[in-house]
Amino acid sequence: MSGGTLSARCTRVSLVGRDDAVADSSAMHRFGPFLAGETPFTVGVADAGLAHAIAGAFRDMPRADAAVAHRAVRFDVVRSSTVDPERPWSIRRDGQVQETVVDWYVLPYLIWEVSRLAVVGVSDVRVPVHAGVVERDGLGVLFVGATHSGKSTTVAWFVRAGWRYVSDELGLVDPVSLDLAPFPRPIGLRRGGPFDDVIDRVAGPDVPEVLCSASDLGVVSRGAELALVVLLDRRTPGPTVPRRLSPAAGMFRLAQQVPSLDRHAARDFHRIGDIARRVPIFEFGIDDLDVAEGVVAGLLEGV
Amino acid sequence: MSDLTGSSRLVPACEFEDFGDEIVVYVVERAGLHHLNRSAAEVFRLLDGQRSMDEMLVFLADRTGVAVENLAADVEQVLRGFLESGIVVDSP
Repeated sequence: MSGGTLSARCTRVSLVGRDDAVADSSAMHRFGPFLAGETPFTVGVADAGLAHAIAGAFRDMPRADAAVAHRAVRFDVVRSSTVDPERPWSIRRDGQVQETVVDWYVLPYLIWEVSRLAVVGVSDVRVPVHAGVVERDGLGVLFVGATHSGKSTTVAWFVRAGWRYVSDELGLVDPVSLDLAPFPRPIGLRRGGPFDDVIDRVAGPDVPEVLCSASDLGVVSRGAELALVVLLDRRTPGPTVPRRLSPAAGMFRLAQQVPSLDRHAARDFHRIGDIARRVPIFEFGIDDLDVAEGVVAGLLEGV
Repeated sequence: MSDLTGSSRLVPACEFEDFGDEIVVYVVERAGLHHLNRSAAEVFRLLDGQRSMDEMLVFLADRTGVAVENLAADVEQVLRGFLESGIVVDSP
């Protein structure tokens, strides 16, 4: 896993997952079943080095009950049968090849597949929101924003500051109970931000990005009640002055980050309206994460 | 897009959530989200397929105390926006 642009070495590489490895063949390690939101899955890999990385990457994910293991989606990472030295790994889902990838992209691609699984497999009960999520004292905060809006960095900062980690990518919200299901996939951290020291420590000075298990930064949550939504405004970074949006304006912005809206419009659109009516929605830019953490803590105390 | 005339009768062709002052609509076929301000929301609520555009203008003039001729351009602009976005269609 060296020489690429993404490293999984932030994860404390260990054999955590090998205790329950199932030998599909003499060299196959299988991990899981885990839960991607509400969908069980397993990952099998026929390479010791990748097995270490995968065990570390998924170590924070909730475990699925044995009762649902039989319907777990099965991912396999095997040597590609095609003669392409640049893309030696084939990633299969239930036996079907999804992609052939280079060494360094195995883990990011698997995590992308698992994230997609969490969205596609979401039950009738929950609405998936593209958001980072943290929790304190059982109360959850959604940091909503598009890709590169700073969700992961913000979430990682809060977790290092003592908040519990729910997800850096997906809020799975029950609009009736406001329960948030955990989706604690590894956090993607890029160089050039406040975590360069972490990247240096765990992956070295030449690695531009890492996938970091939240449990390396702090504590992982097992669920929360949604209490606050923060829309990350990267267009106007500056002092963290929160602006409360009307429920309609908040719903309009929130709905733009609900990937299931195109498939379940009639259902999820109105559920987003329910959330916007019940949960306060604020918007602000962040230029100082310490200040932002204090502001969010204050907002949470006020709800 | 249909031609908008004084006799046009329009109906919503979208999912919507009414928050009182404002409305959020979603045009499923176009995956289009729209946030209607107070004025646009007021016009939207009158689109029941029963009133013609002329009748709607009279209704709004009575309600607001603004003369029809002073309302017409603004309301027509809102309705054209609704039609272009697929928020409303001609009543069958």
